[in-house]
Amino acid sequence: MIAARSLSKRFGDHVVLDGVSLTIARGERVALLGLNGAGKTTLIRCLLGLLRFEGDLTVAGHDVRRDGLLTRRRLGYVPQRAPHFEGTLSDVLEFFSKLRGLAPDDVARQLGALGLDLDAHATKPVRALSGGMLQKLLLALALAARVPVLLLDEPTANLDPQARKEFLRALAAVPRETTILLASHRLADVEAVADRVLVLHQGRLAFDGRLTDLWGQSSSVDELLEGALGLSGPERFGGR
Amino acid sequence: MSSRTTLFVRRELAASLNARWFWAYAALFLLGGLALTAVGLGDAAIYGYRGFAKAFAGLVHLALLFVPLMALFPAAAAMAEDRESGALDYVLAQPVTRGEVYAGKWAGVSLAVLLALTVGYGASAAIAVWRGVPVLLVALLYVFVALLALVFVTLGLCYSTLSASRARAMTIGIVTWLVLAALGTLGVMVAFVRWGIPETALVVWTFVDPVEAFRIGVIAALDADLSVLGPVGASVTSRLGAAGTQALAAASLAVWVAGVWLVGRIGFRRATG
Repeated sequence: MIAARSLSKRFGDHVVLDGVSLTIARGERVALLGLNGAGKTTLIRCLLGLLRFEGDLTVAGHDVRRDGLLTRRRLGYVPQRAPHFEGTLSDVLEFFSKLRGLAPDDVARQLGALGLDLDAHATKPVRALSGGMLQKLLLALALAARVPVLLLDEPTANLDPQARKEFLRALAAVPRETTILLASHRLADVEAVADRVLVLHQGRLAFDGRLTDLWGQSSSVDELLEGALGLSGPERFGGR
Repeated sequence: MSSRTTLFVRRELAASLNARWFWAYAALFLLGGLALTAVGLGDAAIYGYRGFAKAFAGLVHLALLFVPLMALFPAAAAMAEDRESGALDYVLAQPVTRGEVYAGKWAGVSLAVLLALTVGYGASAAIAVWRGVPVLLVALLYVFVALLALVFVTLGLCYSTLSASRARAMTIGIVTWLVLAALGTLGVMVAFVRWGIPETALVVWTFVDPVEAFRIGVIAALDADLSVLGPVGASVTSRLGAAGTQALAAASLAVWVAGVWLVGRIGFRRATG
């Protein structure tokens, strides 16, 4: 479903992705781990066609560089921080629903399943909504599109525990054939979603395997990555 | 126009109509236009139609001051604000092309600005027509004002696309306006006097500078004499005639819109990091 071959990305002299090659099959649930600046978000942004890159990158057989529109039709995306859109919740929902060719009612239903009642908030300006509410809106849009691939870039980073639970519950209900690539700093999210883990370190793929193989005796993400990457104290993971 | 482009047009238009700047500009232009129309009609009662033309030339200067800023403000925000808030990345992550986003934003901001202008200009125009000013002339002046607005909407959006922030886009836009409106014309006049550059160069500059093209085109349409045309304008109209001057001025503005639009569009395509 996703294939990268010799994927490289640099910003000036700074190499962020250095010849990454990987394949993710249809229906796989993959967690993308790494220290801050390891290249997780950059990889996702390359998949979305938001960045130029070297190497080959395909989604569902479509070349990201050449067939950007076709690729993005197959992708649902939830960023770490929901952007501040202009307009009311209802306006934004309708705009993005139509942009994706979705029925706004489907998205509203999905939003309800995530615990956000559209009727109660429809006329509120998006700027007045909490980050958690906005994340739910973006997830609802991604889920309602019924795309084959979901790209989730630390989607629960700004959610409270209850919202995180609802978010993960919604992900658990995603059809099994949907591929999920989840960049996360939260071990609980990784455990709940992923059955395969990719670890990026200094722009390279440092680990590719099952979560249980990486997990071992670690009790936290810090320990987990220290073990996997041979790191110690100062160069630790950014969050839990 | 694709349905996705139409979505962006409607979104930009709705955002503009909800903004305070839109109604403030429309009201200011309306009041300024009405004041100048009243003066023009008063002069027309004394001096006839030529009196109206001279007073109406004041509206040209109001438009020169007002329309570029009115157009730059929302256009400079259109792309940069979305980029600063992260909304642009989310939009571009959807199944939409950069061309659709760019065209939709341009058309949406343009429609909003033209709507504000129409509100402001429309009242003055209605009074002018009611008092006997030819409809064709009123329409021609509107076309020039609209073209000037489109030039600065397009410049603003281009700067918004290529700049890191809205503030920088706005600053570059205002500097451009200052250079074109004041320093450009003044510089050419100084060069003419100091170094004796050929008159042809002045004529060419008239049509290269969109602000000057607008001024000469409008005044030529008003059948004005040397006192409002100025020496360069008088030279241009004596060479090309009033109709030729108007046509070339309108063409110059249209070329500016098309050229800057393309630069902005290409810049947006290449803006991928």
